Amino acid sequence: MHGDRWRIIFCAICACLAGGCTRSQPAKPGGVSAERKPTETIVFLAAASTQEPVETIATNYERSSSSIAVKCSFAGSSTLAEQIAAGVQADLFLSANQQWVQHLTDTGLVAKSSPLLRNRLVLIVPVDSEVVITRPEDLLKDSVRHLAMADPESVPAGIYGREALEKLNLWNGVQDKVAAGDDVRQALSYVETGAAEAGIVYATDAIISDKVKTAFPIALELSEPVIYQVALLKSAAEKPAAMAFYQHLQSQEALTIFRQQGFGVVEKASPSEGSPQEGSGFGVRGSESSAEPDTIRATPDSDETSP
Amino acid sequence: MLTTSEWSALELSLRVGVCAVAASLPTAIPIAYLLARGAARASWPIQAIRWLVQLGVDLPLVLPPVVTGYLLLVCLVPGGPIGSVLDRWFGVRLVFTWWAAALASAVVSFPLLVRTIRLAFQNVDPRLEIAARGLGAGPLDSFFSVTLPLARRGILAGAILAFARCLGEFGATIMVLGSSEGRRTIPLAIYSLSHRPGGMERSWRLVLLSVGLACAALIASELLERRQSLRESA
Repeated sequence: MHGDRWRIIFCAICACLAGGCTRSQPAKPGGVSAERKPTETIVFLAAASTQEPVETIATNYERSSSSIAVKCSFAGSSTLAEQIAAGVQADLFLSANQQWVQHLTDTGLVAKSSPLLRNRLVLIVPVDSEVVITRPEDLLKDSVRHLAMADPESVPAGIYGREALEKLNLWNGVQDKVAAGDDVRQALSYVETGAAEAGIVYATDAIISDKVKTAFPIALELSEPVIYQVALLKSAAEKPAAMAFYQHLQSQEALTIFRQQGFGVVEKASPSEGSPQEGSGFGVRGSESSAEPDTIRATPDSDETSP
Repeated sequence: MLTTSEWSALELSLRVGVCAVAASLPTAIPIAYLLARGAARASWPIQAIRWLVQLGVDLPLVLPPVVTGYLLLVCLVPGGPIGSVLDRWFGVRLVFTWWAAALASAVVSFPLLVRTIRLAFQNVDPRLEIAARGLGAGPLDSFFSVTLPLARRGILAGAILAFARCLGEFGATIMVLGSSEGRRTIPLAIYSLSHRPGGMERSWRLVLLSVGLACAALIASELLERRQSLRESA
């Protein structure tokens, strides 16, 4: 009985090893010669909400200059900032807020940085939602059991969302309903699966999913302006490829791709460091949510409620 | 000594662990007994069922906990097979509540519980049960007054081991509980701190707490099992 069992285990291990060998063999002849090895690799840590445009930009960039590979990694900006602070080998950082770039600048890890993109928050519900949510106060309803957000303690999308809810005096009421994700895309998926009845994400996240719909946009003045900041890290300051890609991210070619994905672009006074200006183009793709997002207020209209 | 959020993490971890183990014991004990006492000469359908039960029980031990959590999440969301029933009939939504965390912990720790208890039952001499039956006790009576008391240390050891596993549960828990302020177990709290700049330095108390709890549970479980086997050999 025992002998049998060991024999079976032994055979199984042999089979696995044999399988491993045969699988690795055909890879040998083709693998090395087929692809030209890129001479330089840029490591780009980018906010989770920028995944689609950043991947497109990186692929285009690799195609145009074959000697460079861009390795992208996406997570909540706070996660990425912590990874950089912990000494992860990275060249560029695109944060969904300025706070985490500032934090790294204060620690002396940033060579230079520049505001790049704008975004805005929207409140989303599952496409087939039966809960009626048309204004922020509806979040207090009992039928809204969970409100998905990125972590309101640290992840930019969550911090902005919390700020907006605090301004609306709703935070205390909804705080216990918050289901916090590690990044804004996790909040999006909580709403997609129906685990949360509503969620606060960026407008650009809402339009990539066909399982959620925008209930209403959240008024811009309720939170700090959502401004993405790109940073060239100290460790890459002497790396020409990283510096070139840092410039490329601010080129019209890259900005067009960001615009196509619904991001606004921070117009700069001069090509060098500039403060973000108001009134920059904010093209929210898929205008079904609102024709003029900036004019729609998340607060109930004053002529209805105020005495 | 601990901050409020650390206390709440400790409290939640303990609550989840205790509830998960307490809820799984009534199922784990009969399953472990059937697996321990199933005769080798039973007919093949019975053998096949035993194998299947064994497989189902052991699966969470080797599955990545995230996969267990994924499956639970898919079943528990209001649109899922279990979640829709709970929602429609009882108006209960488990996802993102600590009940879901307890369920996830129960599933993940179940194999450890069953395995330890099964060993405890195997160490009980079946002739004692036969003797009890011969003296007129029914099957239930002989189980409750002979087998169960003799295996009690092993059962306790299994419960402690499973409890320790619950304290360490991360993968399945983060899938069904998410990671929200005030609703984080110790591992989730450490994970979420590690995501924040400057958080690593702030998590050392929770790390120490985890190590301490795990050591205490292991030592307790080990001592109990040793005493059980000493009694058997004596």
